[in-house]
Amino acid sequence: MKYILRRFVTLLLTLFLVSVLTFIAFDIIPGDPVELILGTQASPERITALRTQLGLNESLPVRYFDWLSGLLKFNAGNSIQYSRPVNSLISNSFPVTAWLTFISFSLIVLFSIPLGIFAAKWKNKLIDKIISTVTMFSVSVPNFFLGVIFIWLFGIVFKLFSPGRYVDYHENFIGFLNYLIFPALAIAIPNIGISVKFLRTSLIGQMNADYVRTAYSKGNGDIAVLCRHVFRNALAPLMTLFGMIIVEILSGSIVIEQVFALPGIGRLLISSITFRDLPVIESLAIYIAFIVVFINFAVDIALQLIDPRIKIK
Amino acid sequence: MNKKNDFDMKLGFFIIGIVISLAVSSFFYTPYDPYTMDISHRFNGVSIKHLLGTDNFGRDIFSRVITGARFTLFVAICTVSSGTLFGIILGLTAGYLGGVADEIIMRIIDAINSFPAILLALVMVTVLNQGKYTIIVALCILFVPSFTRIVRSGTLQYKNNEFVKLAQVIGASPLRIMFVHILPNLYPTLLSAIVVGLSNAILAESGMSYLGLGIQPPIPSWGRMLYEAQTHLFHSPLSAFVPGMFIIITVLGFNFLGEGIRKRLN
Amino acid sequence: MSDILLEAENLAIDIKNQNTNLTFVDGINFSVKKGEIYGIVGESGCGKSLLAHSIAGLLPENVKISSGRIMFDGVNLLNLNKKEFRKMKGKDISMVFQEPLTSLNPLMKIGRQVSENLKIHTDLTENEIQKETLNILKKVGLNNPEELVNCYPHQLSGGMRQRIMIASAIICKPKLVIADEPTTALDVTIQSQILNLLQDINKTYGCAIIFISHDLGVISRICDRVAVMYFGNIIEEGDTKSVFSKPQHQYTKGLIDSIPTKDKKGLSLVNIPGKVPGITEKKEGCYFAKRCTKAKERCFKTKPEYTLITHNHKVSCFLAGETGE
Repeated sequence: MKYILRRFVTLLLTLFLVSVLTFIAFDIIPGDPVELILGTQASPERITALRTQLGLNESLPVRYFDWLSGLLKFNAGNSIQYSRPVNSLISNSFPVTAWLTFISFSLIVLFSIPLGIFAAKWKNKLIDKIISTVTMFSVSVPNFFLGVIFIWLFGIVFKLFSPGRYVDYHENFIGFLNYLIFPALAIAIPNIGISVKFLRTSLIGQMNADYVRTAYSKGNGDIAVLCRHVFRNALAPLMTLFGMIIVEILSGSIVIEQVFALPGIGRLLISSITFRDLPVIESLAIYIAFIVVFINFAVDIALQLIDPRIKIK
Repeated sequence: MNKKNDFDMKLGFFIIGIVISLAVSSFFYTPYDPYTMDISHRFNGVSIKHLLGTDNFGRDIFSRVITGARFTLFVAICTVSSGTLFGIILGLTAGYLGGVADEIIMRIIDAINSFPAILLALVMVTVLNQGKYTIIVALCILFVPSFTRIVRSGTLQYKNNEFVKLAQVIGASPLRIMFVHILPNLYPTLLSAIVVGLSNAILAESGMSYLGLGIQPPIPSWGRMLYEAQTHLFHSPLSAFVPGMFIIITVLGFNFLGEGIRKRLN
Repeated sequence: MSDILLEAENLAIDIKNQNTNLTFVDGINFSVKKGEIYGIVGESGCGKSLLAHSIAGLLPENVKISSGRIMFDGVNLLNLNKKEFRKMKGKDISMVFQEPLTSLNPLMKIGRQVSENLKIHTDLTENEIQKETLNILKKVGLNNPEELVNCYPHQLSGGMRQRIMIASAIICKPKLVIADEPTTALDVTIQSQILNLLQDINKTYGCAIIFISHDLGVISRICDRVAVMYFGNIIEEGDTKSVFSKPQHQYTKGLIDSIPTKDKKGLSLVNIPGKVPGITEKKEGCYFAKRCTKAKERCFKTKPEYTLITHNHKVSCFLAGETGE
């Protein structure tokens, strides 16, 4: 309990620091946001009026707290590019990224756990060497190049899907999921490589542990040793891995949405950056960072529940 | 076991050697000018005249790819070395001084780490506005946290060793202890981190360039070449594959080298 | 029925390393009587743990028993299939390991770890298991078993952890407990308590104990009989008293002379020159000849027979019986 409390304090501290860093970063950007909105030919009166309206004449801490309270109320101002509330833009594109993340994550779990177990179980045997080599290649391929190859191979050569013809989830959910498979695969493959490598190392570490030998000495069979003893011990590194992977997927989807023209968070972010639509960029950055902070928090709490040895350091 | 490490290392050195010599030779000679467009020769296939064909503007892909290698490697080396430098300074300070300095540095590092890598780079690009060196600064930030962590944990490990205590007794200044006594012990770990960092930097740079936020056209960069070729994938998959393959091969080279070094250290 | 519980005959153990196959433990013969404490002593790396693990069926994958028999209570353990052997592990033969912290599962409560053997090998109800667990924890000298069962290993002291290991080993009332350096990782005072506990258990349950250690002092204190191992072979075996008072093998003599005792005060301690040969070194003659100060020519050429000196003392040394001192 004490640990959770202390971890919660760190969580708040990190959230605070993240928000301050983001706010300051966007505050020092050269260029006047008012000028961006009104253009260079606006009259001085209008500029002054807008400055007051946006609160730009306040001091830095005041502006920070205004901005933060806006964020917390999910009211982050208007997009310059679309002249729409930032949050409605984000909530429109969020489901695409969420589904993409979910499918990639499932693919990663589905493939990396058995492969990691095989590689560890037959350590240094042929199957392990094959898995290691494939792993090495998969972590060396940039996800966007995989995306391009998939578009060419499955889209143009085999015609399994029509590249660029995104199916909206409101219209045809199955078609939408279908369209997401190849992008998800492009995100998943490099991460499967990372996961397999990680799992192999930690499983080998567990299987050579002394307590495993003790378990065998009591008359446990292979399966009992695996389920009753190794599983829970291997769960902790697995949790850490999952936390890491979700962050990687978020990173990957920013690029992959661009490759497959998916109208998700990533594409919104890139188009906002190209347009210098600062309110949208700022909100996206902070929301994504908050999600990551919460994931890390959840992972730490899970680790604490699994392993009672983890205490306040 | 030993044989295998050496194989990994040799293969890594071999691949990187080829890529670097191609990049260096592009300063002196390229079969064609990488910037000259020649619409009449667009989408040429592989031939003796154009080793790896031509792109949508009729530019020689081989010339562009080896020129691109130059910029990609330049960005990777700059970002990783500056990331390492900052990481060493921050990590040594946090680890050796401990206390408040450690707490402040590590909390900020944690906060920076809360941004997924590519998002952080994108935010930096936005903040810094697009310029020639923006991409280097943006990517440099990505590497500071991991190098800081590595150096910090290494410092903590050596901080209480006898040789450090001895230096303290002799009256060496903290700076001297940090840089002369502790740092050299971390070189092996840093070396493998740097090699892995280089492969990550190449992936990150080409990713940013693919998004149009890295090296700006007309300078050829592998990521941007891939992006431009994607529109013409139907006519000419080759112009997309060549830069893609170059990225894979280079990254693979650094990964093999890193793996070899890591195994040798163990 | 004879009073022999365990008998190893011509046991040879191979270690597979990459592509080479090394016979490490070679032609070992020994027997353990019912209810006795049998010590195996030797320097680290002499193969004593390997021997122990081979009896308990816990050899790692690259290590194989290549020939010989291990007769346990009338059954050859090496003829059993995996499943049959498993039914004996933890029930008839159980083990206590050296490092109690890592040998206990860090994420499993003490109660479950101690009772696991019962769960595997008996049909007792949850309640009976619970009762028996608390009972056995009391037996091994732990005062508040009700609290302990809900603890994790990291919350206990080293001595308590080893008591837990012992409790788990004896909960099924095995015929044989193999204790592999059970006191090496502990403080001297705790060591003594654990030795007393093992002796106590040996008496109350009548189970035989194979006690493995590199510490001659510990061995001489609790063992009825002792075997001395050197480089994969038993070179001397006999009643503890006889072996310690009249050591026959030059190696055993060296070992005993190197123990610091009161009456050697002021004299410089003897140490055995050289070190244990590497596992790949060629085997010819007496393995100890190279380090032996009294080695004769034939010691280097032919391997000495393992012979009875008196009714309770066996040795393999050409120089045995000679009155050197």
